Amino acid sequence: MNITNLRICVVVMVLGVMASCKKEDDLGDVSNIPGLGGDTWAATAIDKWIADTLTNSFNIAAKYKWDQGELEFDKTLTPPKEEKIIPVLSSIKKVWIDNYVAEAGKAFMQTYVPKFFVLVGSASWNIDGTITLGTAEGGRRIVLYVLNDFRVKGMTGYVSSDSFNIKMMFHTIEHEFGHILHQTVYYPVDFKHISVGDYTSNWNNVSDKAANEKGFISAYAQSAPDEDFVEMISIMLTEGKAQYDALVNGITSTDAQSKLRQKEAIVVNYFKDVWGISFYSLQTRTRNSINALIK
Amino acid sequence: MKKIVLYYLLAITFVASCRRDDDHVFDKSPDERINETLKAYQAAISGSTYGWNATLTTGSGSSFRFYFNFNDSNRVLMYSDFDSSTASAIKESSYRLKALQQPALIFDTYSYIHVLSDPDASVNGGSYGEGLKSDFEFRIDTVTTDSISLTGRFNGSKMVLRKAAQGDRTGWDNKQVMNGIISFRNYFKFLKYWKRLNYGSTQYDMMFDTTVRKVTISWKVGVQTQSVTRGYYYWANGVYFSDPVVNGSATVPGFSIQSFNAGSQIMNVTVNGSAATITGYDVPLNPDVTLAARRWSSVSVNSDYYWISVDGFHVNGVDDAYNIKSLKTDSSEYYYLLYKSNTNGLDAFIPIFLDTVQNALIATYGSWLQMINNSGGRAVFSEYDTRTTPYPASGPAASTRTQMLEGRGYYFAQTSSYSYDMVSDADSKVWLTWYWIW
Repeated sequence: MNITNLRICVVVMVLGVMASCKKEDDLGDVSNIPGLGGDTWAATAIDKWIADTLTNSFNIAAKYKWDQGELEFDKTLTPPKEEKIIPVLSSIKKVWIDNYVAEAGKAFMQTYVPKFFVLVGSASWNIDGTITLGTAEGGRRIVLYVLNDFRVKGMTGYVSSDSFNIKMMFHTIEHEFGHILHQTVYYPVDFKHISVGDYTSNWNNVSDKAANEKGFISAYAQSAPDEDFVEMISIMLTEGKAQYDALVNGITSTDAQSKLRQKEAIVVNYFKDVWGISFYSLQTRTRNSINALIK
Repeated sequence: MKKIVLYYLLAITFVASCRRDDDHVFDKSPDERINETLKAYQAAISGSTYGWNATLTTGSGSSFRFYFNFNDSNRVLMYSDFDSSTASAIKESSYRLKALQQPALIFDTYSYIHVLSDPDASVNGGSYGEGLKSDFEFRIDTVTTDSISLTGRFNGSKMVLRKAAQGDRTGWDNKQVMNGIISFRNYFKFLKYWKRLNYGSTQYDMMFDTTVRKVTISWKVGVQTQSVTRGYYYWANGVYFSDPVVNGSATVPGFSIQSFNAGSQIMNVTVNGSAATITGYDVPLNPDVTLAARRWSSVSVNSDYYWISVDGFHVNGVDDAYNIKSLKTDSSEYYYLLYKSNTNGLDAFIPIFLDTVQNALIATYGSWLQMINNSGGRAVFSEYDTRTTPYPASGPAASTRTQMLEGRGYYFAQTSSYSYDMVSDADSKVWLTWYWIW
């Protein structure tokens, strides 16, 4: 037997050994894995309300029960109070979903709405002492904080400063929904040319007032054209036309005023041309809905 | 020859690699076992007719009492002795058992247990961003027929559940815990600093650390002083210790408060059902006071930081009796009183002002003090020198300085890990609280 034959022989035997040693490992009853298909619990009136109002009509899930896996692992947070969940979700529906449905139709909203809301009772405290009110990612998941302090007009303990929290909540939602829209159909590139050269990663050291004077609706709008675009949408919608006009007219720099008016025009045309939505009508509806909650 | 070795090796490999038996250590799959365990835990927690008494010790060391009654459809009823409202209105919220890395009990919507974890410090008096370092998601350590021990998954707080009797539930429902919380507020209305429980023929000196809910109880047996530290909780219209205090044949489990007479300065209580009183005293029994002054001083000597007092002296039931908070100059206002022990034995005792224009802390007048510890553990302060700017001739600063230099000196009592009370020996109705600034 020469060396080549020996090698072949060895390879064949090794293959034989491997094949003969295939161990069948019974996987057991795989349908019985705990937690498979998500957490379950005895459904309550809240679960039924969410299913009827959001899940069945818009395929939106709202997770209000504590799940650390959905949240930052290094933050101290608490779940929401049960009595806050329906008020929060129903005002989201009134201010955001219903108004888009009225302007663009139910099919539009069913297609583009973010499908997953995570509700948190406390604020998310940052190291510098500031708090985060909401975050969103991937056009799918929106995390809303400070639900336990959610108070609208008529609730016990409502003070006018609570209206800030409410506006911020809708600001977050409209902002993230704006991202979904422009990620679906891009806005005209002309928008990027309006403030070209003024975008900066240093936006967090700029006050909103200073950003206004450079032709940005907010400091965060200065971070990138995409953020600029959706900040325009969210602030115009949540502040309403009168407030927005007052803001623009209050700016000293006429150059900044004209930049904001150009951006406004592009946003309005984008809504009209791409989505067939009358932006000013949507704005009036949205602001009226917010006013109904806070005034 | 080489070939033979090779064949032997192959044969060995063949034999060794073909062991087909698949021995599981357990007779069921991990999934089956975790499901069985969760089912057993569910049966255990919802199986107690009158619910559970629970003691939760947070990551920062405070302990709180809870009452839970779990049903088998993810709902839990809860009381807590956190404050008078959580102790009087039962609250329903949700819970679930879940297989995380270990089987876990999660209180998954907000209730009284979350108050301790709330990152908004205005809710619980903790710190912003972390609350009292408590938990509402626990891993289940052990389950026996009448107790369950749990460990928090975020801050490592410990909770022990013990099966409740009907009387336990009735106690909460009848507001006995709420009454305990409300009545105990009177304990801090005694004019004299040192308080003792007079029960049987013994006086039990009590010092409460309300920040972590601990009490140190001291009493004399002959000439010897005994001292023990216990957790405490509110129960049966009063305050009860985590374990009874045992003094020979006498046992003190705590006290139920009947009444407080501010005029005669007597709190009537019952201990084990028999009448007893709590009254104010001029001197402490707690042997720790003989060491506390030195400890207080050495903390500051060995650090770049210092002790401060915001309220100044408390005299005869009045906080800030000398009105030190009213001190101001043209451009600055009183911020706090500073005490900094120095290695050369000359300690700074200076009122600090906040310059409201410059937004800076400034010192004007003040003293260099020498602190002498006498044999009884008291600290006596004498003035070595003053700063160049003279003290005002009268008013809050002058009164505070005179009181500080009072000749009989002060006992020191540690009231928490970051605070001491400095109590006058000449008059125990006079004291000042020092906080550690780090």
